Amino acid sequence: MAETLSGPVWVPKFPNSTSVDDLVDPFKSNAKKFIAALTKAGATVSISSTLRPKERAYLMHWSFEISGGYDPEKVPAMTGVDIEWVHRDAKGNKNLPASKTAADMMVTGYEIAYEPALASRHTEGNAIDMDIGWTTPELTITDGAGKTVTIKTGLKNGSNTELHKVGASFTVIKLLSDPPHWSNDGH
Amino acid sequence: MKALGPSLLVLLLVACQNTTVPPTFNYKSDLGVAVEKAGHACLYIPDSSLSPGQRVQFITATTPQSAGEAEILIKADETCKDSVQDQPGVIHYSLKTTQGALRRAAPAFAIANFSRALTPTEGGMAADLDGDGKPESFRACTSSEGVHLTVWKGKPLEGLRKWHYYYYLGFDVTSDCAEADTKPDTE
Repeated sequence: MAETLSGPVWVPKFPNSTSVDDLVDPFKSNAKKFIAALTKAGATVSISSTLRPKERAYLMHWSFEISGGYDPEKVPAMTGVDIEWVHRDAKGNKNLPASKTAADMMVTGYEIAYEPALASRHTEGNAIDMDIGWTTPELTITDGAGKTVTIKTGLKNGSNTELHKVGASFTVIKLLSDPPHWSNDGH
Repeated sequence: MKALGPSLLVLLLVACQNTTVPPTFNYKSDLGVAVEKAGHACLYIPDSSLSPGQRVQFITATTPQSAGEAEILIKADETCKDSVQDQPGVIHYSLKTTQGALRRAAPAFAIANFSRALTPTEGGMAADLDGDGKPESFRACTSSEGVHLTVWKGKPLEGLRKWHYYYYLGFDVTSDCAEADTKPDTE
């Protein structure tokens, strides 16, 4: 299959998902149970990200690198992503400015100012970003062991440390540094 | 001693009314985040009283830090509505940059209701926000998928953290934050 030159045409490919169904088991079923328990308890749950395809991470990472001056010829290939990073002139010579311009356009399309990582719990399907909240004075929720837990103190959102324990009972672990992020191991 | 006559009393009252008292800087409402995305400059700040034409200063969060100015264009502009940046009480405004430049897709510190100077130092920009004679410094770092912007009394990570904002990126990056950057303000 012919390779497609790098450029903004790649940006809409391999879109991110907000569906829990795109996660991998056992995290998928654990996350579903946790969300069901939250919803039943009266909390609101808004999911912003689940699976981030590794192909998208590859495209974001390497377009960012080339945009920053990395030699496009040295970019490793990725199975399933038929992209040609090296642009050439009419004589077939490597055209670095054109390669960089195409990468710049991808970076602009992705709207990235920080170096994207190649792999993460999101690319594995083992992470979910969600905003959780409740407005009632207490949140009474059934944890993963079937025990009723009443959260009476702390923030009424996903940063509540008591809620983190409830999440852990479903093996949905909070990453403290990133408010919306939960994963299979807290990374 | 002779009693004050009515005319002197009126003069004193007028003088008191005309005395300009510098507004007290409010860390909770006078600091926010400015970002340029999809060709629009936007401000996210927990202050609903800003009006079109009002000046806002900003400090870019990427190294080297630089300062600039922007002007409020429209309050609650649809172009700046971004569900993933929604935080309780935070209002979005559209901006026009009038001095300096925001880096695309990189959040910057936004400072409203502040007219004193922002000073470049060896470690980045500094400003005496609360007017106590001790300058505040500005720090930004990345966690797994967001940027933590913090303001410190004195040196970053050494002084007292006065302000914290989490800016969700929506893709994975390499974390370089310390625990002091990311810890929630209160529980």
